[in-house]
Amino acid sequence: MSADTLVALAIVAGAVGFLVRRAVRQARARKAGGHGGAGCDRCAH
Amino acid sequence: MSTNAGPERQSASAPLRVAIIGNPNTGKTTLFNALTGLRQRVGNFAGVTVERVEGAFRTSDGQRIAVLDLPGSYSLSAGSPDEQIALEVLLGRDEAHWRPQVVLVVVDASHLERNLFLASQVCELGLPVVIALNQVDAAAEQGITVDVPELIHELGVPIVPTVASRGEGIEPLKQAILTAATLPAPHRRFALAPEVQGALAPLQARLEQEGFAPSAAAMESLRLLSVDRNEPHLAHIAGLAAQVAGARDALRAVGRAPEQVEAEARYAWIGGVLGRTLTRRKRDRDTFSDRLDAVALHRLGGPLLFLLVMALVFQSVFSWATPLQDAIEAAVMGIGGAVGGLLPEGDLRSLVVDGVFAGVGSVVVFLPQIAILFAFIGVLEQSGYMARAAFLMDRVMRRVGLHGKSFIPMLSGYACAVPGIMATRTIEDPKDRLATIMVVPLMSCSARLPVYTLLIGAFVPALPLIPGLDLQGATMLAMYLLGTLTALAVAAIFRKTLLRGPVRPMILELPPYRLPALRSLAVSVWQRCQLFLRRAGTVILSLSIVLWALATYPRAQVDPSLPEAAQQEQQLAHSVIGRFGRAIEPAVAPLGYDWKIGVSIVASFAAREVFVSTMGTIYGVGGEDDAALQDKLRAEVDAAGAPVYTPLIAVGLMVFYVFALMCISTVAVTVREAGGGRVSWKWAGVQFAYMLALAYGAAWLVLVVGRAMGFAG
Repeated sequence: MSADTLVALAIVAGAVGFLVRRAVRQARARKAGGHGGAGCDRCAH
Repeated sequence: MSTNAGPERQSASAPLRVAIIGNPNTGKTTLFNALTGLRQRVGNFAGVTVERVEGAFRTSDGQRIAVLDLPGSYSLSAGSPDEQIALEVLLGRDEAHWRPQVVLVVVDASHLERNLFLASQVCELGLPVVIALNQVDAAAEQGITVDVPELIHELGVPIVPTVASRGEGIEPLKQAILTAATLPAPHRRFALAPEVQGALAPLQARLEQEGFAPSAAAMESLRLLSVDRNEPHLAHIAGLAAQVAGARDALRAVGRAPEQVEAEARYAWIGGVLGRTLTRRKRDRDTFSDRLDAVALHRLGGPLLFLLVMALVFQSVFSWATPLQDAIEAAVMGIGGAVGGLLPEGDLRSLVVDGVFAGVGSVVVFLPQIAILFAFIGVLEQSGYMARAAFLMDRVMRRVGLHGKSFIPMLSGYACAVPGIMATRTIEDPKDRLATIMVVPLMSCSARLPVYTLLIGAFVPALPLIPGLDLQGATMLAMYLLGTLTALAVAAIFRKTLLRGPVRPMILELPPYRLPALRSLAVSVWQRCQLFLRRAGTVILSLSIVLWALATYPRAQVDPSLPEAAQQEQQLAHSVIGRFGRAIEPAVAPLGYDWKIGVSIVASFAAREVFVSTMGTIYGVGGEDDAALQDKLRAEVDAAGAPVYTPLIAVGLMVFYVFALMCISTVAVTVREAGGGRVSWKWAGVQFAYMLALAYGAAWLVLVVGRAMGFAG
């Protein structure tokens, strides 16, 4: 596997990690409840 | 347990805690923003704030003050969920929030009689109170003059005249808040009739036994006479319901209607106060708002004007945005090409050009449309026209069995379903509220805008229809109308089946028209643009990278003798996305879609605009780098050489997106707002399922009917 491909795959792994962390964070926030929003970062609610 | 103790002493470093409360549409949030420098959304209609929002500021002498903006309430006899929030916070019963040390009551100087009802209740809670007499400019225009010193004398609390939208009176108000914290809490300024006082005495004594301060116990005992439900903050008091029933019986025995006692007593007192403090010049002509309303609320002219306004909005989204969109598209493609030129041929270059620039770039180009849509929504909200739209729709809403109040959450749904669903907290009746929650996601939100714009821009010609409106704008308007009319029809079905109940009348306050505050408008549009770009730079970017990997690996052994485009197509078909797409193709084939559209639909379950970025990535990996996505879609042909996308397919796809619920945040907020627990999961499931079925069925119908009419597809 070339270095070029390895760098690309590392970036992909970073993106997956970001999405998973974000999903976990949002799930925790929703579980905590309260009167706030639903984790929509399109409208900041 | 002390429920209504006096103000707590604060340490030197702790901020003073202030809650802002007032009737809906009195300018609470504008005042909150003026005090704190924050930029909460404001609108010239009731029900904009339905959650608690916290901020802070420092006074000129360095004192820190924490401020909590509570939802608008007409009284503390909380009927709707948002009013319940306000009551719980003021009583210190909201575990998620601190109890305020000072309450800032915002009253509208033009509607003092109604506003002072809530103010008089708050004044009996045992907390220091300051009153902001807001919108004194609008009151003066209506010929209303308030004798402020006399009103201070009558109410026994500091009162500061303000015009929050222009920042007038803010510094004196900050000083008044500091001063109020050192003053004793106000108390009831009127006496109840002896027979009422006698009937309430046992109930009041019981509340005092339970830790209520005498003033708050007096307020609660009077308030409970007209409250016909269990309230969470009183649930722990055993036998309270029986005592309330006893007080009501005692009042009936002396010929008084218990549910009217509080209103009669407070309004009698308020009438006397206003007689001594308020002068009203007789109006000799119609106001500007009256003259405008003669058209905007006209039986025929009103709906026509509403349609014209909507047509203008959607036509502008196309006409005004196109030059900016072209410029952004050229810039994205230029930068992508330049960055790609710096990298050697290989996976990393493909990731950057086909994944990042093709995916994120295809979404970012819709920034001008988002900005224009939100600028129009801001103008309509701040001007007061939204309230007129709700008034026009009231008759329609009643016909479908919904409360007139439901239209404001539905209008909010044009921006995003999440705040739209949260705005249903203003609706008292649980069935009304649930029916509204179920249909709000049918209103086309801003996330659908990139999908509509991509497909309309690519496949609908800009044929002029009438002056100022072409086929592109009309198609966009049709998509929004389709969502709105379907929402009404579905609501009618829910109200006649699962959520049957009586239709209640709506009392709607029409605020005077106001010129939108340009700064506030610009800030609101800028915030939306920032959020859109942040989302593109985080979620859309990450998803585009992941989708690029799925569209690139595993590598295929392509036939080098084939043309380059065929080699790329072969590689794409061999990738994870290609295999997945082929597997789901039978499910989308009846709608006339190929596997690439199918994959993009599945990916957009994460968020609707991901449909566009997925298309960008798939066509970036499998096609030329330097063509715009719309050109690629127009050029796409199937194995037989027939175009994959036709205007009919594009319309069917848009109709699919009008109806499909493809937003995890909306599902989450429905689960929370539909009552909680397993039942709310059931409602969220019903919502997702019926919208998906509607989307699939309608898209199929468009294809079948379109083909029967001779359209290619």
